[in-house]
Amino acid sequence: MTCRAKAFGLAVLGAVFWAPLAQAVWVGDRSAPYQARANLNMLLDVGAFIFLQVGSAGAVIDTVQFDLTGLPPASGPTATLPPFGLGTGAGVAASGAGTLTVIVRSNAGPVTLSATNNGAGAGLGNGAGGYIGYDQIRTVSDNPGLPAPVLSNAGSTAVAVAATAYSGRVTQQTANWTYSFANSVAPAAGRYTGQVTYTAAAP
Amino acid sequence: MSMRGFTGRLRWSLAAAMLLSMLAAPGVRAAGFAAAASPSRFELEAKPGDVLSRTLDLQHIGPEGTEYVIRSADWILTEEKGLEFFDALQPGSCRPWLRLERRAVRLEPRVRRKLRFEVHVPADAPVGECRLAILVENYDQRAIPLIKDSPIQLPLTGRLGVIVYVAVGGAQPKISLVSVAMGEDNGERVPMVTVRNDGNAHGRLEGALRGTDADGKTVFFPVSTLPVLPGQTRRLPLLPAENLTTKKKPGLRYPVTLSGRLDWDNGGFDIQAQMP
Repeated sequence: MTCRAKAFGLAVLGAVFWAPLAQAVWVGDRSAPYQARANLNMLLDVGAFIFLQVGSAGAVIDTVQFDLTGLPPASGPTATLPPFGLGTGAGVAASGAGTLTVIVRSNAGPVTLSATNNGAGAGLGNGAGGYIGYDQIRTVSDNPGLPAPVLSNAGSTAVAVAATAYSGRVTQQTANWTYSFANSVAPAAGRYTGQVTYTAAAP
Repeated sequence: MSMRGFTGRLRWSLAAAMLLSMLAAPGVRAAGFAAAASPSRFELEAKPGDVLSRTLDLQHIGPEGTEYVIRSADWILTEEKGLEFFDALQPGSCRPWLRLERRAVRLEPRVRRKLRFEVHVPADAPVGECRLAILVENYDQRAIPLIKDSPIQLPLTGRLGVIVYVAVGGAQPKISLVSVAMGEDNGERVPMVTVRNDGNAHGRLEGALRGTDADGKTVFFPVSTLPVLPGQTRRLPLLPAENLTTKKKPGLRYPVTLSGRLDWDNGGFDIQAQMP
């Protein structure tokens, strides 16, 4: 090989080494069995993310409803019977869809999930000064790795979503949360509405 | 066609157009929550007088495009109640430093959209850490359509809290080891390391301890990377690492001897302890 060719080769090698994205090292030989080897450094940049889905992700916000009319009457001494089954303490399942699918995914370490509501500390309101405490709404999760925050008028204590891989760094949890009405109080007549917002964060 | 018939059709057409435009107006319809944000948090450094510019990527995973509201909140993280957000401005809040590019953003299904924001650190900002959250939530959550004439109706929705930390003027954590002992995490009895942060910025532990159980089995115990805020003493669980092949948690027989080093931002601790 001539000096000029060697200089050209070195220049090419130099360009390869200096090119910012071409992290390759080429090694060859000139004798049998003529092996060539190329080392390529790999760099994968995986961005941190967090994802939350509450309900069906459809066109409207999922709503659970409870129909307290026509509840079965309680049994026992007549004088202490709660009328029309209200306030018996026997839980009432949601009418219609009462189970919500919740999905949490993240690759950024511990994830917390908390619940807030729009009741300003009073509960679900009927627009006429009547309230039902959020603690009357019970939630049961079918996945202990994604527990449902316990609802209360003051919001909730955040729950930790259990990580699923990479020693606590990656979380992929799906749960079905089933709602019921505790029915331990007999509320004033009316239609009650409220709203619960679940917040996911990876602090 | 008579003039009267034409006028009647025109009236109906206008009414239909108005109804459609009302249904399509933002706030009249609210979609279910299914959103992703990247990064999930920002950990920034700044000097007094700096302006930091960053972008947050957002994506909606639902079948239909929808509007999201972007706003800020204060937050605290305690061991008792976990992460709590506050709409009202808290004492010492740095939320006035935040400038959001927009307050609402429409996200089409599976289309990534960037949201720019800036943090304007005042020239007289003291040394310390600014902490706030950028909340991503459904558009106008008051406009929930009632879907049935039911006595109790409870709409349920979601929200993402993207945490922003800004260490101002060289604020740093200063973490010291308090103890290593058994404790309970999510109903599970696990080793816990307790640390204290006497600095003026949050810090995190990193790393894993090598554990040997009563049968001689070796398992690694990575430490939780939850932040330790300034002035806080926090217990962090050391959860046994799952088997890389089976993805299952190892069965352990206590006592377990733990050894190794856990690092934090500016230092670390060598730990040797036996867990009963």
